[in-house]
Amino acid sequence: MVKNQCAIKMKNVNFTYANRTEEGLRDINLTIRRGECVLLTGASGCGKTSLTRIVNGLIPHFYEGELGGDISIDGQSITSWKIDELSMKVGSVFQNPRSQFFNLDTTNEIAFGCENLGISREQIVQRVNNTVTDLQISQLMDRNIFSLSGGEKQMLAIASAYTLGPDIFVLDEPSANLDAFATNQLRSVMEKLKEEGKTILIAEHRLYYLADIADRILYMDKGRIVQEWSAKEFSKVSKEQRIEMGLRAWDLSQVQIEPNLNLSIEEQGTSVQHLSVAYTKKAPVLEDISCVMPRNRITAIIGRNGHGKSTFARCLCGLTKESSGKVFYCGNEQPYKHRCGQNYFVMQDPNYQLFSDSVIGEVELSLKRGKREKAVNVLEILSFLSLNEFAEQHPMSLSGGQKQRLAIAAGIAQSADVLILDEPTSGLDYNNMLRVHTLLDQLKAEGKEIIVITHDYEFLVNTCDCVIVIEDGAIADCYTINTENEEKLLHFFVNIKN
Amino acid sequence: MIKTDTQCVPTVAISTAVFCGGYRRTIEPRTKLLILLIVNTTSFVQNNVLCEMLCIVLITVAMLYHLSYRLVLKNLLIFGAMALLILLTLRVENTIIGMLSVVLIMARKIFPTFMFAALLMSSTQVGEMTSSLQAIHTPRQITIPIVIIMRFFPTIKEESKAILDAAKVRGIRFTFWSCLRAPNQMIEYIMVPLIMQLSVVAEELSAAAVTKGIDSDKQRTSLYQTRFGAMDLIFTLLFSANLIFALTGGGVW
Repeated sequence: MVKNQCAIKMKNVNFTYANRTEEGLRDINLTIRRGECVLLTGASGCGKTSLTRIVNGLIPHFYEGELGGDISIDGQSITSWKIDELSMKVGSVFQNPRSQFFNLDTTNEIAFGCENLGISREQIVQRVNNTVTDLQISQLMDRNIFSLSGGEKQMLAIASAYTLGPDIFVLDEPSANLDAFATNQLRSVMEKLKEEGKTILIAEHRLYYLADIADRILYMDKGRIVQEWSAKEFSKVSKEQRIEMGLRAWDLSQVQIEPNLNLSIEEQGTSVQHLSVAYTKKAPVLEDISCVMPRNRITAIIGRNGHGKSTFARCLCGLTKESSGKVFYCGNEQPYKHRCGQNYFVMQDPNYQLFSDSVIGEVELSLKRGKREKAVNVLEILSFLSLNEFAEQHPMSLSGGQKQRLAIAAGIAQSADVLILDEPTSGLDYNNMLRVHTLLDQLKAEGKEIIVITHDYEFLVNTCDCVIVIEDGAIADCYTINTENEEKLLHFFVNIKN
Repeated sequence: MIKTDTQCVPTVAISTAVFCGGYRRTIEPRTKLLILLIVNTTSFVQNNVLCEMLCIVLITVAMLYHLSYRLVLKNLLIFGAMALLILLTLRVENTIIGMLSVVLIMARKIFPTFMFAALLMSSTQVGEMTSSLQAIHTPRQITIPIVIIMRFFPTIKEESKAILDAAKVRGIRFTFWSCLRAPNQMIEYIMVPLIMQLSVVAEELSAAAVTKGIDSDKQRTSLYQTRFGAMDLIFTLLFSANLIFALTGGGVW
């Protein structure tokens, strides 16, 4: 036989986690050739993360459980791989950029794996240099980890895996926390890896950026591989079929705008006049912003990270003070101190926002502090967000989507008029995205004003009514989402470059 | 791009110069640990003000050597305020205020140790510390926890910031009065989410560590190189002299 043509081979693999509720794997048969890029997809909790964990050895070395079947990596059975040697064969990149770095400076992070494996200093220096040239990341060197953007962090994660010289790369939802620009950055690094003939196994919800890279797409459900397509076949899968499986778009240009025809006349909502925000005296983050956000519309704020979007949102909800300018709601001025509370911020990670020991307690906590006493019924709010059956549970036992709804419930209980959501659909599969969409529509009907920061084109097109583009601390554009503006909007997402 | 040239290493102790964007003045991490020990011992055996002052002056010099001007300002202000308060409280004859001055005196006594520890944390990179410890064959079981500890301080800071923001949005205010009225609740509001977040980070971090060969049984190497220089000797001698001065009760002169 020619020197092993398959990088990864699995035969009748079954896995059950020992003490976790996550879905394991059932009857996995899979062969991945060298240099192939395989995309794993499916609804949240379908087992795709577990499959990546088998390949990088985290199952069974880190996550314990019952593992059956034959697995071989590079022709060698998984049982005979030592975990530290496996890490030179398989490089891993994880979903959360917050929790995959050990060092506080980037250079040392890239070298960290080599140091652990006892590679000599001269060799480490050479390998780090090679990584920097190959992946063209000289701008990332010698920086503090905390000063990097999300996209840069994922590049660094790839670089630090790359330095160990693996042939196989395993990525678990690498784009989950990235904006449109960073996702495009990620794509270009992935292209390079592929050109170099690396084998890539990637688990993802967001599919469009992999359209030119993936060779094969595997659809998983309940721990099984249910269906398999080549990239060409997959591009022909109809929209209806894709949505039925709960998958995100493969080609963004096929996502059609369905203009909301029964829009009522715009009602007065939040507006800002000549708003400027500066953290330091020299460089203002936002300069002289004026815009109007109608109450009965869902407004999306888009723009690159670091250009002032989140500062704008933080200022609207009273977390960052403006240096000049005014904010109005329904024609009345909203001073900085009153904004926090009237305008409610739903953070990207709802874990931060939950403080109580039960779901019902969480809502009551907000009621106590809200000014309207007992006028709102706690259970009414919970059932509106379909959380009533969890009333007595601990907030931390809820799923991600439920936590997000609970954070929103707290905002309603606080009788907030405006809800500002930061990336509500990041890392969500199609059905969960749809759920957020329905919820926001309901909230809009209830008379809440909704402002969303988002990088999710499908969600934006489905849900939002108008768009504000923030660039370099100023409003670059502002338009209604309709078929006329479709091209402009799509261009923003697909071609966004540095 | 990093340079591999180690020829240009100057005679002063220099650890990461070539890697960390050029020349960075610092003393060797092992020297810092030794001085920390000396400062600690000095604080406990000294019983005259001159000796304590000398200790503070020496640490200030060390901070100036590291160009940590903000650290100097902050620490001297705190120390000055503490000394002033002690002078004031000692003049009042009142049991409660008397107790307060005892607490302050204790705090002043251990202050030099904290001051030097602050310098150690702010001027040492994780890689330097591990490389320095590995040079004396410290086992992985000690170096890795040090990496993790040094990494977790900034993480705690970042996470706390996010939690305080979230609390503000939820209408929970951490004002002086709310902390005085319901201290346990306020602690719960910060600690519960913080610990939840940190435990998630810790688990994901350990998983990532496994894929980076942290369990390997090979002798760990290091990208950084640290070496001793003249300044290490000078600082060690200065601090040791102060210790001897403290041991003899200031009676040498």
